[in-house]
Amino acid sequence: MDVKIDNFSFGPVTLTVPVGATVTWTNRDDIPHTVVSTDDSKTFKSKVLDTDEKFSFTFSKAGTYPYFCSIHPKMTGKVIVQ
Amino acid sequence: MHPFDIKTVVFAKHAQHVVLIHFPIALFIIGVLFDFLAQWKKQRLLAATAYYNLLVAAIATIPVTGTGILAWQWELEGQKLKGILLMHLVMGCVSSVLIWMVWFIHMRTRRKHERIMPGYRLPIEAAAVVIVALTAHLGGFLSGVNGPG
Repeated sequence: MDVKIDNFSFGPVTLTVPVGATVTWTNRDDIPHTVVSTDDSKTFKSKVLDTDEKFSFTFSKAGTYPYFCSIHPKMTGKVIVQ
Repeated sequence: MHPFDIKTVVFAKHAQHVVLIHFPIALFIIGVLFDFLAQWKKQRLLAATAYYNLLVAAIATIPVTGTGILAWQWELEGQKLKGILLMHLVMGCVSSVLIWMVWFIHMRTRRKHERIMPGYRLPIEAAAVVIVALTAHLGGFLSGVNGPG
C-alpha cells in the first residue's frame, strides 16, 4: 500500500487497509516533507523525507489514523485500518 | 488545545515564522535602499530613515530566528537537517548576522557623530540584500509559496 507525496499533497488522501498492512509513503516532491500522525497516541512519525525517500509503518490495530506534514500543516491525510 | 501547552499555543501550525519573516526582509531591503539614496542625494533625513529601518529590521530578526529554531526543535524534534532545510537555516542565521552588522556600522557612526558613513558598508549591504533575498526565496520554496503548491 503506497501513498505518494507530490505537489504538496498526499495521494490518496484517504487510504483504507486491512489490519497488519504496511503503508509506505514516498516523497516525490522537490522539497522535504514529514508524515506525522495526529491521533491521540501519536502512532507514527517519520523523519524529514527528502525527494524519493520513503517511510513505512505497519498498522497492527484497527482504527482511523489521521496524519499531516509537520512542515506544511495544510497537507493532511488519513489511513483507515479495518 | 490545552491553554497551558505553550508549544501547541505558540506553534499550532507554526505559521508565526512564515508571517514574522516578512518584517525584517522588507525593513532591511528598504533600509538599504534609503541608505543608498542617502549616499547619492547626500540627505541626512534619508540617512536617518535608513538607520531606523535597519534598527527595526535587526530587532525583528530576533523573533524570526527564534520561531524558526523553535519550529525546528519542536516540530521536527531537532533532527539533523540536510538539503534545503539546512541551507535555509544556515543562510537565515548568516542573514541575521549581516543585518545586525549593517545596523551596527550605522549605529557606531552615528554615536561618534561622524557626518560621513564608511564607504565599505555599501558592498556589505548589497551582499546582505542578496543573501537575505536568497534565504527568503528558499523559505518561500520550502513553504510552497514559490513552488507549485
